[in-house]
Amino acid sequence: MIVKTLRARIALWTVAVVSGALILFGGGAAWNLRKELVKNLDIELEVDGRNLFSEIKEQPGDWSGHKGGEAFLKEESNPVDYVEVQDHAGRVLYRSANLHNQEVFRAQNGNQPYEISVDGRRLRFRVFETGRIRLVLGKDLASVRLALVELASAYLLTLPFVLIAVGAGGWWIAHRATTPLKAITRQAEKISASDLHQRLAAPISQDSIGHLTVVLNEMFDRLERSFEQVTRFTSDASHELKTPIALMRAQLETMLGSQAITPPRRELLSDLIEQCSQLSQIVDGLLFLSRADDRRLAIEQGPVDLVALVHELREDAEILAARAGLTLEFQLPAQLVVIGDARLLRRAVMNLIDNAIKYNRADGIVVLTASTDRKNAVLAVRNTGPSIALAAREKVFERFYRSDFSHSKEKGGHGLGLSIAREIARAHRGDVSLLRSDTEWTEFCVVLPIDGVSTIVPPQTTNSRR
Amino acid sequence: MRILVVEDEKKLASFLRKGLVEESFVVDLVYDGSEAIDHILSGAYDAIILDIMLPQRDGLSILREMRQRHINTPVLLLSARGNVNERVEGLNIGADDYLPKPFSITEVVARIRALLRRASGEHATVMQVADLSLNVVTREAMRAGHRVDLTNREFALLEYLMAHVDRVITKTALCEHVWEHHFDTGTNVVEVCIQRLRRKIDEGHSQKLLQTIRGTGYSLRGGK
Repeated sequence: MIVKTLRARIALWTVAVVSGALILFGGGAAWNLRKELVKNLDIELEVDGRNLFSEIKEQPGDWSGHKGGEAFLKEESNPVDYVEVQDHAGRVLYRSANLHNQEVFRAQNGNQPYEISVDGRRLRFRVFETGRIRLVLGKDLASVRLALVELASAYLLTLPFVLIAVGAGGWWIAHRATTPLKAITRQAEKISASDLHQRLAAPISQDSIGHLTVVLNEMFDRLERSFEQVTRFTSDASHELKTPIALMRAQLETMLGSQAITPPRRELLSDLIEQCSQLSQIVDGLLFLSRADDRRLAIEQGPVDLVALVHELREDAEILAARAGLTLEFQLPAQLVVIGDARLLRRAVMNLIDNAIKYNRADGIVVLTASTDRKNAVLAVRNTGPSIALAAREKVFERFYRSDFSHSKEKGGHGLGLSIAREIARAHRGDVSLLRSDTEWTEFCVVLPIDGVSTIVPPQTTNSRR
Repeated sequence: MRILVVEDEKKLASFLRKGLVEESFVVDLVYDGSEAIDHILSGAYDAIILDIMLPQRDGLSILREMRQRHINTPVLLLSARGNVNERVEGLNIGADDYLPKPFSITEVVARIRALLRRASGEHATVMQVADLSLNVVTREAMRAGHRVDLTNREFALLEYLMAHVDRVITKTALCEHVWEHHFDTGTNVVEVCIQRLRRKIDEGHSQKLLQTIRGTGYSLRGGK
């Protein structure tokens, strides 16, 4: 998704930058065109003005009140031009009708052309002068404006097409630019999802993408090393603990078998044996979890009917529930088949049931329900145990996590049950989560994809451990 | 009875387990050598089925290590057909029996039963304690000539107790050898199952065979 929006962003930015450039270019072009057209107009003014002026100068006599002059001018001057004639004192001798009696003479340095609006029209004037007479000649700028408008409309008409083309180009360039990123993302995702042994494909180029690949690979190296250290430590420690525990256990059992032991000693010994067994369970649990971390859980795949599985556990579960003074209820369909490892799934479900029985109030209830939507099978275990604080809802899945309620030793257990259940579900591409926990019910559920088989990671036989 | 199956070929392993579970054995499966030694060292197995060809560590070296550590659990080796040297070596370093592949599951079960019998010093397929008998093949239990119906769990429990007659068995051991799952809630399940079994085999008989050793566990006493 991020790459996709990045791609859209790159395309949009391209369009924005190109639009900006086109606007600047268009503005510049218009400005230049206007300058050029006005220059042409000025030349026209100059030529026409000089001709007219020389005609006027050649006209004999005094202009004041000279009716003949007016007629002459009407005849001589171009009807589209704007003409005003003054004498040296500034008295208007003639003013063409299209000026509507508006004074248009402006004193200018060196007779530079200037612009005035008359009757809503923009006009350009130039003054021609001798000591005796002054001619002001003006021409309409409408033609210039028209040319500019035409230019602008042509420009605006083509602009959308150009921008669409630019957008498409930008989209394509962005695609080209993000393709290696996408490839890296895909590969990196696969690395985190399966195992840390894989690396990104070696970079082809020395550009920033190539650099990124190298840096990421180095990061994966470090990650793998520390991850391996942790798992190896857990695995080695558990492994090293196994033998002494087994030895201790064997010696205790030998002592227990001896006839010379007094009953109180016997009780102590069997308690110690039970403690040894608990220790082994913890060590086994740790080994199991370190294998899960290392993605080396051996998963045997086959169809597993979760309902039949629950029924297998039922005898033991009912005994445990009866012992704790609880009622056990089952709300199960006839069948609910997933693909997975029956033994692991049984272990996960039993852990949840065990938990629900252990952390319950006296004369409480445990309810097992199973249901399915199209993709997943959901097995939920709810009990009437104390509600779990909001802050602890994820923590219950942490290894060795104990709630205040479970601190009393008689509850038994070692705080690995939920972690193990969750790892088993995750190895099946599912999960275990806490659905609700309030004063009424606390409910955990296992969600398993029905076709879990397809992507279960096979145990790695090539991966050597020591 | 808890059996460890060490076999890297998944299909075969699962086939073995299925056959053994049907006979009320508790079965653990492992697929590679290093994992196998972990399991064996924790020592709670009544018999081990061990394939010779394994990834990471072969069956013979596992066998050698466990015998060096004085773990005397009976071992049934699985080997490829025709590899006589391997089998001889296996038997010489402490295997109790071998079976060439391919094999039938009934033969595996029969051989495992034979190994277990030998380990418990019994030689008949019918185990006998006083007037209680248990035929491990037909799964029939008789007390004083009367048939006793047992659930799978009760059968497994009785079989284990009869194989260790006159010895004190801790609840912990029963839990490990008869149940697949280890319960966080301790050994309550064992106690309840023992009570049920006792009701079936001892009720109405003056001689009580299944005895509770207070604070320790249970013992099946022949009372000689």
